[in-house]
Amino acid sequence: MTERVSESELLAYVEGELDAMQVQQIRERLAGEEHVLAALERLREDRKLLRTAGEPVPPIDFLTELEPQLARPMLMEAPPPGAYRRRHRRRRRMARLTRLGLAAAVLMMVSGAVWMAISVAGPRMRGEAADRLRAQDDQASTAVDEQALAAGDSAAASEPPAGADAWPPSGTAILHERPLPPGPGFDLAMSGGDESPADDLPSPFGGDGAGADVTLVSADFALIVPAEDLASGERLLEEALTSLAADAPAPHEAPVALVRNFTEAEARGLIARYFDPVPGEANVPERYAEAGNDSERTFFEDPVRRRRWVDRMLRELRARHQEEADEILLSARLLGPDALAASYERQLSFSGRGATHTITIPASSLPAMLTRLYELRGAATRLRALPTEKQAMRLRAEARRERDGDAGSLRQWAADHRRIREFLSHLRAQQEGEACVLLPVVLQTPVEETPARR
Amino acid sequence: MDASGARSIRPDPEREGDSEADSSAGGAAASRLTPLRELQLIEAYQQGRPEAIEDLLRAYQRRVYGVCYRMVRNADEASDLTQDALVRIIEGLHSYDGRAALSTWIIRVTMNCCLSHLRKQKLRRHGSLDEPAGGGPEPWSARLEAEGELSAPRRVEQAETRAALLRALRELDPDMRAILVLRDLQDLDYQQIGEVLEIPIGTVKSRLFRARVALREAARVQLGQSPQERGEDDRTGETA
Repeated sequence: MTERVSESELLAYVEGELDAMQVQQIRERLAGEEHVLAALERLREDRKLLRTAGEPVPPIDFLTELEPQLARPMLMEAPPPGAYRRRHRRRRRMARLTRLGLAAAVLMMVSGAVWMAISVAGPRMRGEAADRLRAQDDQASTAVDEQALAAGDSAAASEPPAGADAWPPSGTAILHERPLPPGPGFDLAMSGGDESPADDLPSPFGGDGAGADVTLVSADFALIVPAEDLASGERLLEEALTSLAADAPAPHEAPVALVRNFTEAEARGLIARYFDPVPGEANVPERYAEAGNDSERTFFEDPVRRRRWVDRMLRELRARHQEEADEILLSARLLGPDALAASYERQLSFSGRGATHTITIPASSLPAMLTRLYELRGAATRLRALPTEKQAMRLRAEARRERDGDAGSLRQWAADHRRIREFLSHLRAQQEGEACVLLPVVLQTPVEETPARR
Repeated sequence: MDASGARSIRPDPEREGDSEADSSAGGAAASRLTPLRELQLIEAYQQGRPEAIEDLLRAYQRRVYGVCYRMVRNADEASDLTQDALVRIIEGLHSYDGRAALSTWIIRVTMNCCLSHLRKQKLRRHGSLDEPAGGGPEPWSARLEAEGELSAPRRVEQAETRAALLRALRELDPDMRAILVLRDLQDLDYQQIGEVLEIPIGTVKSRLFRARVALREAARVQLGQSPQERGEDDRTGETA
């Protein structure tokens, strides 16, 4: 029977790999076993039919649906394990306590010296001291600006990422392009803290972890979250963060926060509200008049100058309107403690780069956060590299002329993912497992909105 | 993986057969890339030109979907698996070293997704491939001999037979299915099949023959059943 023909020969016969002579030989060897030959012929026929079956037609263009799927794998490598983090945290706490102790000792010595000097020199010295403090104020502002340049905006000098051709993504609620309505209506949600020991006025450059036992690291990529409108988008973020906190050992102490970003339009509105923008009036410092005047709108296009002005304005505002200081709104804190909220300066930076909100979240919880959003929103959430402020301005101007939607989302991902990976790798390499990430969020809504502050 | 968002523009997920003339989402597959062009695109992608990956994947997405659909024969599952496979391909592309042809590598990644999915579903309902052909004590020819007795009229339409074969494919053990999909539907040679499934060529050959016998037997059962007995919808239109 078929023992006269090996299996490999039979396969070769079925696969049509034999020449005519070899086929003839096999048929001769199977002579008298017509049923076997018939079976082989059926296998050949099956093969032929399968090979002409054609390819199924994909129901969609998968490439346009792919980008959201790519976000999660990027975050899947877990940050360092808890044991190391706890050890690292203890070391940092000890170092912080030591620094605080030294600072307190120095402060007491300086205070004593100043008190003695004032009591000896009398009222004449007050004016000089005030001048000196104002000069320190300006110096501090400049120093902070330089720090901001060196840290937050260092990327501005670098080349724009290839393919960063659509920012903010189509449908993004661009909060910073509309001025606030005049008059009161702000609520308090300013991040507290005092980072500049040279100042006697509270610095608005608080937040970003000031006073909290965590390190805050600013992400340079954003979470893109589609939403029907801003309110539902904010509810979604709150829900995701709340459920994330619920899984923490101590939910009420979970280091999560959410703010709606302070914007440059709001900064302008704030200046215009408290300082008459018309130059030349006696009670208006000229520098603020410049910032508040519509004709100087481009003034705020420079992020460094913008921050400097807002910073100075806030310092003076606090000094002059102490009773109102607690009612000045710099951001809408939606969730979490002030100390964990992004500082207004950081919010300004993020909003200038297209992000509508900022969430604070433990670095180790990034994948869980994304998973929560997947669960709540489906596979529509994705990550995008955040452009620098200069790039953002250019891209916004270009986007106004022509919005090209998300057609090249995969291309955008390909352009972005290295940068995002680098950030995440850096986070892991620095063993900053205990760190919290200030993650800018772009809420994408069908219609641009200017939300009312709550 | 949630691919709910991928459902909105589905024209007719089960349509097939007129593939070569099709210019829909996966139509780019009709113009497959040359190996040289593939290498150029990979190099461009690895050097930071993001548009290269789009061109590359656009040329392959139809093929990837084809493998997935043939393996699971369900449009929704195939779509999910396709997305999963494409993500893995993108994730792994930076480490692609060119040892295997790109097409082989892509199909291997895709096939691994499918087999992993099927194993999770515990769809292994058939005997091992390495058992004697057909899995029973009878020689393969004896099992096929019986066919004539069950379905005496051999004059079935080719289209019906093809549809039965494709349905029968689903009934096979995933490993058997894989080897037939790779050989007949993806037109890979033994060497490439061995690379995809990571088995020696000799094993490929013996498994392929046994898979053919098993398919014929399963098709015979399909042809002997009415559509109601098959318990499935026949909307697949798998009649080229």
